[in-house]
Amino acid sequence: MMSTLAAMLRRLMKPGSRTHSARSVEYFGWLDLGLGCVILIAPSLAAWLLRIGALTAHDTSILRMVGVLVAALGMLYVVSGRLNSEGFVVASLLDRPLVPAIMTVLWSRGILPGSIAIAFSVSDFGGFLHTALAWRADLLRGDNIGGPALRGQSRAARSVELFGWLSVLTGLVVLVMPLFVETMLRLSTPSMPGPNYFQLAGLLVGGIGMLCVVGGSLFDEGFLFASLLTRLLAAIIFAVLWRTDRIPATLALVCSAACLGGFLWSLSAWRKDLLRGVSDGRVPVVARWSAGFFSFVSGVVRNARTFHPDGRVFLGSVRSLNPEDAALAEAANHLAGSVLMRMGMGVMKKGMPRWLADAIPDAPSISARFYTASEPGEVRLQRRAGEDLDMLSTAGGDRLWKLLVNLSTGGRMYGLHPFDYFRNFYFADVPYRISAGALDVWVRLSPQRDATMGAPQSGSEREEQLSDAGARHAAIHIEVQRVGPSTNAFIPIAEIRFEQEIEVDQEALHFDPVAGRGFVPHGFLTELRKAVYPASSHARSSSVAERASREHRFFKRLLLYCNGTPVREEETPMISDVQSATPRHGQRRWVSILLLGAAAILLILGLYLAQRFTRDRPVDYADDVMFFERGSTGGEKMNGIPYWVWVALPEIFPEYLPDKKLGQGYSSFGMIYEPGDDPRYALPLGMSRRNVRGLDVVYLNCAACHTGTVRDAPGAQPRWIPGMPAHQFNLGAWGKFLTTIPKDQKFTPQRLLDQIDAMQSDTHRLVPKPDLIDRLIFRYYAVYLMRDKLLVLGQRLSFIDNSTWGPGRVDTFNAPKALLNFPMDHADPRELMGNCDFPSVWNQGPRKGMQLHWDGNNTSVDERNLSAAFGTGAYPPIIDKDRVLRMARYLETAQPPAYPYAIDKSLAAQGKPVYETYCMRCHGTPQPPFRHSAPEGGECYNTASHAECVGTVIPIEQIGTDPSRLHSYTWQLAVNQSTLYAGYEKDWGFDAPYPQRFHQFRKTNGYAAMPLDGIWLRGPYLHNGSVPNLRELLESSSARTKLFYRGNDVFDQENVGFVSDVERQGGREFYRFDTAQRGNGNQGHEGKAYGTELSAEEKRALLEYLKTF
Amino acid sequence: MKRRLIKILAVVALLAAGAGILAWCAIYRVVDQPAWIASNQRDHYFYGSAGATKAEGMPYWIWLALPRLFPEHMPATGGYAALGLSWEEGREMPVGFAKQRVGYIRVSGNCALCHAVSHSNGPDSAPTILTAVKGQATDLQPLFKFYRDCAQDPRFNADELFSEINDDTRLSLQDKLLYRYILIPRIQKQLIDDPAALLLSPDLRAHALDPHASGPLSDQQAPALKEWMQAQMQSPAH
Repeated sequence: MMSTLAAMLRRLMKPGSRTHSARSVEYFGWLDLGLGCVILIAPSLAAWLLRIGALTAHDTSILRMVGVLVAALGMLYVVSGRLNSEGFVVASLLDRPLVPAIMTVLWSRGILPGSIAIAFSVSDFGGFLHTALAWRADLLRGDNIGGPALRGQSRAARSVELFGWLSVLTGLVVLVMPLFVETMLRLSTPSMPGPNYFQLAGLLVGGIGMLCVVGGSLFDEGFLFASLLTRLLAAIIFAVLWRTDRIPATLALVCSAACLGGFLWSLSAWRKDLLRGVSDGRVPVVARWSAGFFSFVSGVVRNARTFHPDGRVFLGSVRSLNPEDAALAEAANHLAGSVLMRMGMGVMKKGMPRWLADAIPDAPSISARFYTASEPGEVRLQRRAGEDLDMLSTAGGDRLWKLLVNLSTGGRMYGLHPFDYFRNFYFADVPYRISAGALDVWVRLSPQRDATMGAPQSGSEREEQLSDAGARHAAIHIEVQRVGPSTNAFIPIAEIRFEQEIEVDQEALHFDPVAGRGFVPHGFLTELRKAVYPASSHARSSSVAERASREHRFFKRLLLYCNGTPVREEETPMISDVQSATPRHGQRRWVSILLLGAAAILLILGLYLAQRFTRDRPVDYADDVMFFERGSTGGEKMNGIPYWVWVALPEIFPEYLPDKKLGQGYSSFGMIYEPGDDPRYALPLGMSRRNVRGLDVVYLNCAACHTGTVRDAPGAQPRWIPGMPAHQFNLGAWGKFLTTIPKDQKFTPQRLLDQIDAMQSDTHRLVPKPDLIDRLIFRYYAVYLMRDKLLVLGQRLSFIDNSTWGPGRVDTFNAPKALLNFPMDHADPRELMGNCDFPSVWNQGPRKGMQLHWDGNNTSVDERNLSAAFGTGAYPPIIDKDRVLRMARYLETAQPPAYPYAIDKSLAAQGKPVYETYCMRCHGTPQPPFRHSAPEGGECYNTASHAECVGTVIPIEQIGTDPSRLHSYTWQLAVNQSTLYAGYEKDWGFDAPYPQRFHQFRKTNGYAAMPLDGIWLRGPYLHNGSVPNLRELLESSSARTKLFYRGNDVFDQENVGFVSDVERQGGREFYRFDTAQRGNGNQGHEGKAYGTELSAEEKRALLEYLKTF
Repeated sequence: MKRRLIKILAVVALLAAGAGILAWCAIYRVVDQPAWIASNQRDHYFYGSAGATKAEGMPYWIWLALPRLFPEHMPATGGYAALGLSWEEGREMPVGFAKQRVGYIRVSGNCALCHAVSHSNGPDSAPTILTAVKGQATDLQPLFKFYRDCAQDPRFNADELFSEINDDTRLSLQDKLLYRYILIPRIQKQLIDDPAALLLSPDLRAHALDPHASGPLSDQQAPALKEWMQAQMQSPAH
């Protein structure tokens, strides 16, 4: 009968006398509870204490979860310890020693920081040692550990065990495939190489699960109560953490649902147990299945039970030797009567291949059933519960572990004599409690040798010796040793005499080593046997014939064993000679083993591939600037180029590079490599990397077009400035390169793989060598897919002439027309050219609400960002919103660098009033927020108040600049852009209003006046980059340069802009910009209002003042 | 034996009921349109569903993908705007298309599909849209011809449509199955047979075929709408 919950609670509050082990478990429970609470409440404090560096938000939330789990574990220990629960002691002894090993692995693979690994290893292994020693002390003192052993399992215990298995499984999955789980739970995944605390959480879940499995199957009331209490509290804590946004909702939901589910189930099971009593004797499902599987393996694969094979059966008689000690005498009297003995070898070798059988030494063993014969010569094939005692004993070690070590090392230790039954001691390997619990003893059988027995040297001689001894009624003494120091003497208490050898069906004789005749076995092995033996004997075949017939069926067998339903056979004559049936089935058996092995390998392979092909791991950077330069927008998921293909292409196709030079990577397109990087292997700025489906792929990110370089003089080292227009990067030429190569006959898998082979061993590589699967993907899939995609892309973009872009420019709004697949052959010719400069992207916060893009067609910074992200391949279904959002947030406050060269301060001061008179109304104040108030209804141009028009559209008739870019954007495009991101209705954290669907695009009729932050870095000037420097912008168009060169990053301090009159420099040829060509007109932004009619003195002052922006 | 049979029957019935509920949700469950549509007479007239349950409607993602998948059947650039439909800047749908989830998200036509008129303002700004102009109605024939051409194109199949849809959204498994095995084949047939019957409720379709036949509005709706439309026609934009 179970105790009520209230009684348990009272016991918890006022624990009675307890064993040492229970106490030690409780102490370490308090330790864990404290540690867990610290981690839960102050993860950063815990991180500081353990010296594991700064935590990201993701790490913190996961670490909190670890805290909850550790605290839960601690609570399990505390409560179980206080309730004096033996099962839990066993469970913790099983669970804790594993921790150091697992921690070592996690540490060595860099998954966890060393300090955490050491902390957990030390605390758990310390706890294990302490408890193990305490248990030993209990045994020595003969303390009663735990309550009376119960048969079967209560419903509550079953439910706890079930949830334990669930946790074990979950923990393992999280431990092995954390990314898979994180993807499933839609947690953000930081893929920085470094510690992953999620796996630690997985380990803890698995550990708790294992405790529950063992505690539940040993049916330990104290532990059941502890788990009930812990699950309820954990569910509440998870709910609170969720409410306060400490951990992600999905994670909290999964955890608290699991906890609450387990709690409710166990609670109702407990109630049922109280109402209806424990279902005594019923074998737990899990135990039955594990026993079934065990029997299956040993029965089918080995055609035997592993440790208790067939043997020869003898009848014998037992008489007491009348020991002096009263307790021992009483025990000896209990044993007196008849005995049925099966003598055989400890390990079954039938059906084994010869080499394996030879490697395992014979270990003679005796299974004995002591009973009182109801009539002379009775053979008791079925044990009578509560009456008979079955005792299993084996030579070769007085403890099970010694036996296992002995057998696996060739059987030379602990006095094992494989070929002589009579020179061994047979140890029972479990302690027995005798005389109504008064005494704990170890038992062994000691055969009595006499001179005639000789010294057999082989298996056949050994059997002869046994037949001979049986015929002569040889004796075996039963000896006991008090539990305690191993020097305690073995005292003979009773004697067995052989009567006669008998023939029985070996399968019909089952031994079940549980209590009987006043001998109560206990200890860990006993607890395991309690579950395994009933199930095993239930599942075993009932006769030799049946066992032989079972050999014929294969996979169906597992089910039969596990369900414990014996195969029904017609009455078959008993096959006395089992050996004759064996060889034929032997081969079948090994085929089964091979098939099983193949199935296991396939399963593992399948799991691995599933894990690999669901991988999605961007490379992250803690620093916001680095993240902007190299972080992922998600575009690689669909449009990424495999890293190895990316590095191989310039080596295979140098003829399509602008400078046709090998070994320079993509630098001739103006892409920026950091000093010291090898351009053949490193990624330039503006390329992000991500592991998608197991393949490392790369693609452009925002910084490709929005990070530029500046040099002080032709020979100087370039500086790169994030947020500045990439005026040196020729995106058009780069695109041309990518859409040209698939048409080349060298674009084949073989050529590519040859190139990769030549490059893959270089130490400068960023990712590991491609493995077999990668190579298969390259050979049979990736190259063809890439060719398809690039050809389609090239065709869709074919109406855009990207050779007219030149460095630092792009045709922004004809690309979305290609995306929307407009039939461009029907398009108005005037919209086909929209070349314009890359803009700078600093100070996006103050730009909110301004008309953005050159023609001011959108007033939402977030929508503009998402629209620009299309250029990095980030389409709605694959965009990595969290990372795009992170970049967007960084750009809100990003600042341009100050002008680094000399400024004539007094001259600049003279320029200030000129600026305020002429420029400020449209271009705003030099510093954010750029304008004093937003214009009413978007109309501002004619209002007199200053600094209102910044960020609004100046009609084309007034500004008069080249109209191509304006005409390239049509209202038809605007309305169709309103369908982009349709269906994405959840809040992504971008600025309101929602949903993300674009709804701010409008056709305008002019160009927007921009704030001038960092204007010294934004040359060439005007939207199409048609005026090489600021000085010329203050001249009328007739005085501006008609032909100049773009792409040079040497700064021109005199004219404020980049040097534009140099055709080539240092082996690099610059782009010849002809203002007479379509879209390149340098007219407009001129006349009195635009300052082109100022005096030379005023212009100089204004120019100087503009340097201060 | 009998108890076992009852148990099996109960499980089967439960499963069937579950499947039924799922199927009902996937095909018939009506979700109201967003509140902004009903909040304003003009938006309601332009984008409100006039009895979406009566017209079967186009599955939204097919509706969205067709102009992008078949530019060769388009007379000009601009998606649905190229087919003579009015389209306000910033709106997801052209005027006269109502989007509503009935099981899956559907698009159906309403009064404004014909009775809203765009007046071009040249290429440099978006057209002006008038709610209704006497004697003027949008010609739906280019739209229907486009749909027919698409449906008769060999590329009108699930693989091609999904290749386009996958650039726009990530369909759920349920939607993928529904689209691939039920909607796409079914819509193809209906578009070839009679696109008007798919897009318009029977009343609207009858009215579109014969404008002088009795109006499609019920007696309760008619006076209110008539009054509003007359007020619109007297506005300065007309």
